[in-house]
Amino acid sequence: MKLKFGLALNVRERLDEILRLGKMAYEGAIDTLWVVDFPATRLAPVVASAIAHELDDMRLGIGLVSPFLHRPKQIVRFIESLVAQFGDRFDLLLGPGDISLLAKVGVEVDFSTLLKRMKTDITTIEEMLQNLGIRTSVLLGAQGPGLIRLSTMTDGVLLNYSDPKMIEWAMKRLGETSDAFQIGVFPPTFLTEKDDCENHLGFLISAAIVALGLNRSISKEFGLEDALAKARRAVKTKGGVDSEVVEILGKDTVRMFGLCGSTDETREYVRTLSKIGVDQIVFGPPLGTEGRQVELLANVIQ
Amino acid sequence: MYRASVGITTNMKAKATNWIADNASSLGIETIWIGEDIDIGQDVFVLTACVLLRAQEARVGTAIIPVTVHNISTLARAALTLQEIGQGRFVFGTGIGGIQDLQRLGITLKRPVTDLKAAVSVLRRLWIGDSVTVENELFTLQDYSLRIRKSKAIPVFLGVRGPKMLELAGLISDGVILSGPFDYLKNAVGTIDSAAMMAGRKDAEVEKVAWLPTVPTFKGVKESLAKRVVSIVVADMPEAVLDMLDVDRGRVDKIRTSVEVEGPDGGIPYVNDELLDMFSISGDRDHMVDRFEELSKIGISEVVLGPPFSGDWRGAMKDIFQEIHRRRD
Repeated sequence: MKLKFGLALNVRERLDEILRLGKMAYEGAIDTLWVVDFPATRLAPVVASAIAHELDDMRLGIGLVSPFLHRPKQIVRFIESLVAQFGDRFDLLLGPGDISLLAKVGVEVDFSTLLKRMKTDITTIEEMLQNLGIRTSVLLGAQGPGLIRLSTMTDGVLLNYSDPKMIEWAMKRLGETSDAFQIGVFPPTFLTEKDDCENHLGFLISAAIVALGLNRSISKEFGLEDALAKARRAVKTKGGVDSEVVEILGKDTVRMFGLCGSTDETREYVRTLSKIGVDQIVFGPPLGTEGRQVELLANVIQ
Repeated sequence: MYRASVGITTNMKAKATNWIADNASSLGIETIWIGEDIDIGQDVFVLTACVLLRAQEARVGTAIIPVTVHNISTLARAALTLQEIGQGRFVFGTGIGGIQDLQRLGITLKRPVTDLKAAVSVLRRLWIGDSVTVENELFTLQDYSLRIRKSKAIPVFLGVRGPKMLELAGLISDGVILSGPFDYLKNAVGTIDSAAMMAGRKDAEVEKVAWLPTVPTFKGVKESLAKRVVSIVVADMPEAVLDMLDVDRGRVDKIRTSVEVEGPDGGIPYVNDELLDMFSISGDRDHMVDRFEELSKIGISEVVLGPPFSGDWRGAMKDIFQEIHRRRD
């Protein structure tokens, strides 16, 4: 399978800026534009409608979408409507989402039943799509072993880290999968022109947020328990992630969860992932928020 | 003079809603209103986006999206995005939702007027970039903001019926979407205007949109379809509204019971000509446009030609809009 490239859009940008960046990515030969939902400022299906209207043959991914925020029936309805209006060119990425941010909008998620509920919701969504004759690929965003295992009931997985060792660890847990099963990664990304990743706080914070969501078994596996415990305590005290939290985690740890480097380094990274069997790389925020970044990404993949 | 508009619902096929959006300019449709049939048909947010993208000149509004069936943060994010697509043409119409729908979803509200007021207040605060903490029976937000730098002015219309809700609309809304018989509408306009004046607003500040079932009988529409819609309207009509009307309560009660037990079709046998005429606008082209003008005279600022769409509804729509614009000229 040829390695595919995706770019995540829609975090805080205005719609006209999202469309401008989307067009740049389209011209830069990106295979799929992913439209992030909550906690993005704008609603993903609406943003996707505007992009699909503008770019009439671009493949679009919607997600990550949390079935805890949008009922499965609502998720299926927006996919059905997008396909009816713009054709069969959509993918859907499901996942629980950021539990602490969901709590801020009144969506309480019980950890003890999270996997069970995700399984039920995925089954419902897949059955409804199948009954409607919609061929949208359903992928699952995953980090820990539970969601990785659950992803085998979908069309693929997008892993939320960048470190090749962690990706290989996850692939082992997937076991044998069908040829059609897509293994992808979706790390926060920043491309540098001056070898100065350490200075890009936006990237470091995005990667730190991903790291902080890591579950116990995988953090134990990679010896990250202490750093994560200290960082989580700091987040609680400060009420958010900032440069101090990044320091507590350690920049090396943070960079296990995000991709930052020059275009040459990124090309090498792409080759590495291709060798270990990754099918898709979705370059996550903050890359999709700046035109220059999208230009650099186009250089990497062309 | 009144604005002349079309109403569509999520239950309609994309082919039909796209035709209306694509032809809005040539027909002279001033607003396209979109009603959410909960869990049925097209997604209301995608449909609204598509209508805004296709009908480049018309105002497009939701009428309504119930605040009870979506997370408040989803509504805030959706409206913000739709406002950007429409560049000033989008109107956010909301309300509590129909009684039948809420019952089916197991949603009960002890204080619907207070909840709707709070929802509008929260949405407006989010759209100006505020961080909001609030907890009530309908929604919870904890230090939540949309993280926008520039505030967005999104008109809020309320789809309401009862007297307290009408007062609320007069006090806080930019417009009201009304449905019901003429006598009720006349009273409703008075209630809204009084509340608006009490709040120090001019009565014209609050737009009054009348969306009644419209049934052109000159292009082959089946009457049973109109009766089905009237059944739904009657079943959802609050007691307080029915009390204002000189109506056969025995018949109304039969409709309400039948709709509750069997669904909208159950009410059809009990809808007679009197009720059909009371709760819908039907007849030939000239008669329908006459009735629109009557609505304008009682203070309605906008009339909606809406479902049921049946028979040659496209032809009927063209004829009616031509007649509306001919009379204006």
